Amino acid sequence: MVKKETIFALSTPYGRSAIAVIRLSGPNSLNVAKKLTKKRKFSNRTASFVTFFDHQDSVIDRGLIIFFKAPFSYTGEDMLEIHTHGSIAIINKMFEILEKTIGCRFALPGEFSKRAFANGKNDLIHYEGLANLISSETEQQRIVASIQTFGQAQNICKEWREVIIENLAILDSAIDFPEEGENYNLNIVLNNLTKIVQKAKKAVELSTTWDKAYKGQEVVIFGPPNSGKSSFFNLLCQENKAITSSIKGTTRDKNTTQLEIFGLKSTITDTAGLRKAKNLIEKKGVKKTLKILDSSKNFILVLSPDSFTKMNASFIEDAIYQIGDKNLVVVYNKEDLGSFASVKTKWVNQIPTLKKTESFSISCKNNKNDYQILISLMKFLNKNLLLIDSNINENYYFFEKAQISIISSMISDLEMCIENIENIENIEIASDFLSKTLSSLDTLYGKSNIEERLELVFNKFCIGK
Amino acid sequence: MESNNVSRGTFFMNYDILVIGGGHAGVEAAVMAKRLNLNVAIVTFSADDIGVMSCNPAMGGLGKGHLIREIDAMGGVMGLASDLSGIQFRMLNRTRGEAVQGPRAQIDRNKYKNNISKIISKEGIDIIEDEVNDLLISQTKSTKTIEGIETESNGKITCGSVILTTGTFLSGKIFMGQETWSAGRIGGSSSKKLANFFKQNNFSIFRLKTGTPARIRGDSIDFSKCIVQEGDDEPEPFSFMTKKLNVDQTPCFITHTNRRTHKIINESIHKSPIYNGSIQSRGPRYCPSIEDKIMKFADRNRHQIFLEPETKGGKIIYPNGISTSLPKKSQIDFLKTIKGLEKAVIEKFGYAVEYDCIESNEIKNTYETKKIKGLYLAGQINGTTGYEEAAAQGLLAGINSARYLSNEAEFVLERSDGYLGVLTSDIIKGGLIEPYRMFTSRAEYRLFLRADNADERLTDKAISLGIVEKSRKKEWEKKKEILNNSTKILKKLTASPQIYKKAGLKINQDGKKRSAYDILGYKDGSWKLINRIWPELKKLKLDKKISKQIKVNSFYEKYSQRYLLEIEELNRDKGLTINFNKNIDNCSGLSNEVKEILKKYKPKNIGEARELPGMTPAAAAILLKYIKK
Repeated sequence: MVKKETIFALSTPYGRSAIAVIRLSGPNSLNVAKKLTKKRKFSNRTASFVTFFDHQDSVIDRGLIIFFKAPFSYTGEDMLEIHTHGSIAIINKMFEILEKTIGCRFALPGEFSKRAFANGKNDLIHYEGLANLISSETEQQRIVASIQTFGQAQNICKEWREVIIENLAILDSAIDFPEEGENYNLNIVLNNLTKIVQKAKKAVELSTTWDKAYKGQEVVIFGPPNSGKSSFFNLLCQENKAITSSIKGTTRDKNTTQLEIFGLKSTITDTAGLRKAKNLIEKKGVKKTLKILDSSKNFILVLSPDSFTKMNASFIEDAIYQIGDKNLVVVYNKEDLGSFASVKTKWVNQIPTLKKTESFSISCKNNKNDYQILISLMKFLNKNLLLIDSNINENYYFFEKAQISIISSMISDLEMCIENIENIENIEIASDFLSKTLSSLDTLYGKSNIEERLELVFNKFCIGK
Repeated sequence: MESNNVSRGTFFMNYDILVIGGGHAGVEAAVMAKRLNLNVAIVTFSADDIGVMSCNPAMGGLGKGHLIREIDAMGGVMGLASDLSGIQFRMLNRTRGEAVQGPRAQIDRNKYKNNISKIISKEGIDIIEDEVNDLLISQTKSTKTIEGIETESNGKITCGSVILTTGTFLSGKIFMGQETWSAGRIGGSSSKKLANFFKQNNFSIFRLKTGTPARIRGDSIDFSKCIVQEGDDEPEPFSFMTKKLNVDQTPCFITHTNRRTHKIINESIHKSPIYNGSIQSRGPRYCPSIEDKIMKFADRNRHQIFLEPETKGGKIIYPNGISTSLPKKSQIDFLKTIKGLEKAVIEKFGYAVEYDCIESNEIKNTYETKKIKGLYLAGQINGTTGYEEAAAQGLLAGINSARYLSNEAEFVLERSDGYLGVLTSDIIKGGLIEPYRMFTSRAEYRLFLRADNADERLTDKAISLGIVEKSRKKEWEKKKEILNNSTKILKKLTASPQIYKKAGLKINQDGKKRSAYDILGYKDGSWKLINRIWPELKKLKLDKKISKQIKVNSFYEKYSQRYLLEIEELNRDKGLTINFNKNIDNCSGLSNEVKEILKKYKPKNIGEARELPGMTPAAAAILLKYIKK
């Protein structure tokens, strides 16, 4: 019997979070655990706090490790859970080490469940319960992550709140004590508040980015008929979800599946081929596809040598135009056909924007079970389509919708405040907007106290005739 | 009620209401009670003390000026008396928005006292010159009720209600360097006996401190070395009833302390009772003594001093900004270092006074004490400072005391009604850490609670209470009709942005129709502009004041819209009463801490519950759900 490979995957969203969990399944699990931690013994199903080392024996991180001895694990095989801090750098480092470990490789989408099924854990698989279980598991992780990230966001909000209170105190001193010969520098107030606005805007932007990581991104596959969109779609999901045939226009409706590509959640949608429709049913399909192009943000264009016609090319060019500056990658399919290279050039010549578009060549038919190609395809998609900006150094973002909406209204009130400070006659309006931002933040932290503000005033300014 | 105005012997004097103390709280309280047709007397050490301005010779300012306008709109007398006695009127923040403009005036303190005395006698209020030794109460199992007072010379005087406005006289103690003596202010005595009454009845008492500067003879000051501060060219009165101010604006002067001054004060700081530990109580942060200023802001080279005349002739000058309790010698020395004061002759030395206050959560929002029925407290005794703050409380205590005797519902103003409401709701919470003074920043509805619209907010309420003079009622109703009518007309006239642009207004060409009223509230919107579009508006013949008022109303209406929603929500919350028969312990989801808070304070409704310390919005929401069940 061939020794099974040990597979690994990230179980938590790819991105910054409090913790990241990498799972392994397969006979090498225990070895990996020993190698990573330099510990000799692992009790079954017990979490231990360990230090993780790389192949050069330098420390990567400290965290938890749990070993599950077969058959009492999710997949029925030996399994390992590695809990590290949720940093992209650490996750990448772990991936690198695991990839270099002999007998270990990235899991393909759905591979853990497949193994579980193969090992007779079908009681889990067959019931809808699985989906619920998995989603509740991630929901649980979501809640944990939420509380922890919320904690970070809370600190920044508290910081903002303090700055707002302090500057409100300055504005109100300028209003209430105009005669004290004190110098109320409203430019400083202006600067302070402008800084908060900038930071808060960035935080809201970041939040939507992380939201993508948690909720997943939509990816739409499109292309001319018979370019192999559905085969490509099936390759991605590793199952025959979309009905394929060589008859053009088989996919009349859209097909959707949820995937995780290296921890990045995505919803992949297969669409009907784009061309001038020949019949009513196809027309409907095309119309739908065009509509989807408007509402989505990430696209995979699938092209093949045998689907090339000038008409198709111009139709696709229109579609690319419609997509505009949203994310697009090209997959050139049917690499096995002899005309592949020459027709690929034709496509590119016909549609000049393709020159600048990242592309990947594959033969869905032949590479279906080629692990190396599948992994590099995943990496390609991860890098060029799904990757969220991981180079952001700010450590705050908001998880809760309510919180984002509070921060958004805080931003707009702060902007009104700033506008009114610039017009000195309207200082009381400025103060009103600033205290409104304070009461928005109060819904997070409870009521602020006028005494708190007055104390600041009297410590800062010498007031009193 | 009939009074038996027979003194001593077997018959006791009897009044409906006795107001103890003739300061600013006492005066307004007595006037209100009298207007409500009750038999009222002011009991004071000396009739000469009525209406005395014992601190600086000025009325109003930010927050304080708002209070005077509100007192006036309610029919109180402080605004009118100030208008009659003012020698320099200035609108603070004149260049800023109306919401934060505060009327202020230098007042001739002698004139003010005389004008107040005139008002008291015109209103028919009796004055009893006497010292109050004790308050008399009747006691049943559960309630104590006020019955009268025990005086030094007139013996027992019976009454239905007492309004106590003792200022700083309750166990007052004066400090000047190493010297200390018992008194409420220089030249007065102290009410020690009365202080005992509160101790016996288990009131929580705490001590506060305040101070004044030395008074300087005007002819000893070289004003040519000082900066002149003139009054406004067009002085604005406090009272809505004052048509035209009869004032010859008198200038004030500004000078500064300097390093030499600071050096002298630093060297004698150990002689200051605040710094050598004699005074432990806390003084107001916003009104620090010059010792405090120098210690706390050691990096400053100078502090500002306003030289304010105490009377029209300027015989005595009040140097505002250098209150002190240093010994006499140090006071003389440091004053002489100041520009213009080199040859200053001191008329009266500065001093600090420490006095008893009643923890203000001992009173209800009617100013009646929770422990004794019919006993009302107003002014500094509640831990506040300032003439205006005192008068405001006196007015509200007077109204409520009278309504209590007539078995009428209590009269309470909300925070959204005016600074009067803000003041009340702030102080009844208790826990004051310093004398309470009004600032506009205390009012969350500041853009709506303006000095200019105090009558719009309050006079109708006052009319329905029956505390307003006939002339004011007539005047206000006339003004109200013009305001309402014109506003209605202006709101009906609408035009497109193009038309406004043609008339000369910079406006967003969004095609949205806007009313003439809206346009008036724009920064560049003016009567001139809308008159150009609708010449018929000239027929309204509005005077300057009312046309300005409409413009101001429209300007702030845009911003104060959200207040309406908040106020509505608050009122809804106030409607949701908390039934403490329903066991709070059974309310799941509330922390034990919050349950204890609720049991301790027993808020009447959700609105009150929300205001409690330690209540979170989440806890309030849970409570709301529970009581709605």
